[in-house]
Amino acid sequence: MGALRTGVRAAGELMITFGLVVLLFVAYELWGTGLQTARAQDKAQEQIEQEWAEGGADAELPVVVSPSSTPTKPGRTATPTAPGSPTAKRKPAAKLKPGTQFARIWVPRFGKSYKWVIAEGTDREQLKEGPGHYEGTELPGEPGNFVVSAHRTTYGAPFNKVDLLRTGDAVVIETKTHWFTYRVTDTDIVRPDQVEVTYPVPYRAGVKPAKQMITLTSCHPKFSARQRFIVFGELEVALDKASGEQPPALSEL
Amino acid sequence: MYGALWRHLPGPVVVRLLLSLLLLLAVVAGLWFYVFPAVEARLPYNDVTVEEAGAARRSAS
Repeated sequence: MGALRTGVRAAGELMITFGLVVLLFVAYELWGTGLQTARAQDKAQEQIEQEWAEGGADAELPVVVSPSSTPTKPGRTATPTAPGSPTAKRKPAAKLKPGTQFARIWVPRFGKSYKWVIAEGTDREQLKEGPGHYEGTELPGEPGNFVVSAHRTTYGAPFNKVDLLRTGDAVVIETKTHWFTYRVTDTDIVRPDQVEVTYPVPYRAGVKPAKQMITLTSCHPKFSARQRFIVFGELEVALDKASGEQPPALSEL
Repeated sequence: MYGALWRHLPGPVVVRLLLSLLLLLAVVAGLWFYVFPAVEARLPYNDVTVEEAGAARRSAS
């Protein structure tokens, strides 16, 4: 009797303990990982602002002066001015060092204060610090595809609400020299191995890009890795920062 | 289990209480800083990138 009672009690205590540990793990995933990201982002924002303000070290990001600063009509494609230079093949020319923070993403739909520093690379460690740019895909403003990935539910969840983006919504990429305003053209849900969404012309291998695209990838559904949520956008207008203006897209909505 | 632990802690009630709190904190810290990060790396739901099928999962997350 005594032994049985002790055994049952111990088993019960173990199960309760296990339940509490699982709860703690959920807290870690949803909240704890975000703390780590918030710290990294704070530092990144400070650093990038300082770097951009200083104006030195220009070598990092090749300046692409593709579409003129004259706004084109929404939905229309700005014509790339560097015909012939981009090839359908991934060019190793404009390579950034993994980890280099080189741009910021603003999405008015996600709130006025929504801005994240994008770094080069999408490996596990990199994405813990915020959105990452797929190595080998084009840079902001270049003809081709600027592809960015970020977490949906953990590590600050920068792309938590990607599914709320609608056609025509603005995704603004800020670099040291330019504001690139992209407009969402389409969304898709794909298998994790469908790398064709990152092609210079999404879904079409070996085709020479004429448009400047942006592609965002995150997991789907939330808390799952079964699929990927993809958002496509096209460059609407590039604004030189020297003008001192902010893109109007930032204050819409 | 916890009863036995309580009986094995030395000192008066206050000391035992403090000691159990300390133990609890140590366990939580161990889980939070070592066990959870290690477990998490093996879970798939943080994968947000698209990759070639069969590619090494080095660029996951």
